[in-house]
Amino acid sequence: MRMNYKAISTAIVASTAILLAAAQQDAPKDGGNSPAPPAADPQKDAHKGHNHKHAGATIGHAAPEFTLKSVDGKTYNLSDYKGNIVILEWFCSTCPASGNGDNSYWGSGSATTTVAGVKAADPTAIYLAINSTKDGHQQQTTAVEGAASAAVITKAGQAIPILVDADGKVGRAYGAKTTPHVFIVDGTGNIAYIGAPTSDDGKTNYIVNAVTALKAGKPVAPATTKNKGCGIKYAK
Amino acid sequence: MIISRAMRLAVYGACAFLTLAATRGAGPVAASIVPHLAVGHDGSHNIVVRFTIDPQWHLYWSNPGDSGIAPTVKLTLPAGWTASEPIFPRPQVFGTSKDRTYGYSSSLDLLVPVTAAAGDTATSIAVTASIEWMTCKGSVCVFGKFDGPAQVSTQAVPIAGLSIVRAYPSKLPPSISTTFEGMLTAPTLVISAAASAGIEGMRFIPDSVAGIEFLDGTGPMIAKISGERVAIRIPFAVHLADAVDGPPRLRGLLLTGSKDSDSTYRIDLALPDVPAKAK
Repeated sequence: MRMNYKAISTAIVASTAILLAAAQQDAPKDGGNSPAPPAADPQKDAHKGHNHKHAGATIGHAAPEFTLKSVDGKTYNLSDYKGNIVILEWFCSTCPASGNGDNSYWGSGSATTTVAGVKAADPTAIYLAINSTKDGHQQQTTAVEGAASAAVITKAGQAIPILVDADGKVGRAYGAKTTPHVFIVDGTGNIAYIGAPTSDDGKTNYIVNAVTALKAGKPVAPATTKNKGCGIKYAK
Repeated sequence: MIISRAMRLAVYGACAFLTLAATRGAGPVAASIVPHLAVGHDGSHNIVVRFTIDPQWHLYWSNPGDSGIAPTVKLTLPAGWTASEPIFPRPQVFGTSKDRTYGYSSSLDLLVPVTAAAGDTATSIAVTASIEWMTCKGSVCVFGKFDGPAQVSTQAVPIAGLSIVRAYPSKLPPSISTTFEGMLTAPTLVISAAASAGIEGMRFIPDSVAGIEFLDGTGPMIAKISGERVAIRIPFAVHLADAVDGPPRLRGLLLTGSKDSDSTYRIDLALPDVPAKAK
C-alpha cells in the first residue's frame, strides 16, 4: 500500500481549520495579551493523532499541571502562567551535561544565551528549572542539591527559579528522562516542544526557535528532538 | 647506599606513574587512534578510534537510549582525504524498561571510513583528532576529551586483525524480510523470518533519526512467534517537520542471539512515498 501524504495533509489541515474556527468563537477575550494561537499545523496534529499511549507529556496535548516549591520556598503552579509560554528545563547540578562544569549546558554559557534569546523573543515567557533528583543522590540531600543548583544558575548570572521535585512525580508525569530535557508549554497550556535545548553543535537553539515561532503564531518545527544527557535519578 | 637505592626506586616509581597518567588521562576512559588503517568487510579503509573503559563505566551507542550521550569524533585529515560518520559496533543493552540505554563496557573501537586523496601514495598520514565522550558509572557521569595529533600508517590491516571490532552488514540474509504495513493509519515496520530459520532472540534496537518517532519507546523491540513466522512489529510515526537533511529513514540494528559475535544487521530503510517537500 502506498501512502498519500498530500491527501492526508489536506484532510488534516481542513479538519484543524474547522476546529480552530470553532475554538476561536468560544475563546475568552483577553485584550490581546496572550500569545497568538499557533496556525493549523498538520505536523503537530500528526504528533497527537496516533493511538499509542505515551508515557508522559505529548505534543499538542495539555501539559500536566503541577504545584512545586522552589529552592527559596516559593510555590509555583503551572496554571498560574496560562497565557504565557513556559519553558521547563530538567536540571541537575552534578550532571556534566546540565549544571556541572564548564562544558555543561549552564557552565558553558549556552543556557545564558538561551535565556537571553527567550527574553528577546517574548519578554513574558517564563523559564523554570526543575530538579527531580532523588534525595541522597551522590550522598547529597535535596537541600544540598537545591543549594548547589542555585549556585550554578547564579554563577551563570541568571535568576531562574529552581523547582524541587524530589519525589519525581512531576518529572515522571512529563516523561522527563535526562538533564537537560526541555518541555515548552504554549499559551493555551499545551505542549509545543519536547527535546534538547540546542543542537549537538550548539548552532541551533531549539528553545529560542520554539518561543519565537509560538510568539509569531507559527508552528514549532522541530516540535521534538532527541534529548541527551544524564539519566534522571528518580526516587523509587 | 640502601637509602640511595630506595630513592632511585621511588623516582622510577614516580616516573612510571606519571607516564601512565599522561597516557590514560585523568578520567575513567582513555581514547587513542590506532596507528594503522583497518580494512572493512566491504573493502573500505577506516581510521580506528579506540576507547579503553575502566571497570563499571560505560560509553554510549549512537542512540544512547533514554539517557546518555554518544561519543563524537572530529578528524582533520591531509588535503584531499575525506572522512565519513563513525560506525558504531553492536552495543550492549543496559538498564531496565523504564531507563533503557545502549552502550559499551571495557572497550570500544569506532570505525571512521576514510577515502584517500586521488593519487596519494604516502605510507602514513598525519591526523588530528578531537574526540569527546560522556561516560557513566551508576549515577555518576563525567565528560572526557582527547585532542591531539596521530600518525596513521596507510598500510591497512584486515579488520579481523583488530581486537574487538564488531562490524555488521546492511544486507539481510534471505531468511529475514522487512515490510511496511498500515502506512495510512498506523505505520509499522515488520521484520520477520520463518520460525524454522533458527534465528534465536531476534531484537531490533532503533537508532535516533529526526522525524521518526518509535511509538513503543526505546526498545529493544523483541520478536514474537506468530504461527510459522517470528516477527518484530515496530510501530512508528513520521513527523516531517522535525526531519533534517531530507526525508527521514528508518534506522536501527537487528540483533540475533545474545553474544557480541552473533549476527547483527544494519536496518536503513527509505519510507514509502515521502512527500516531495521533504526530498
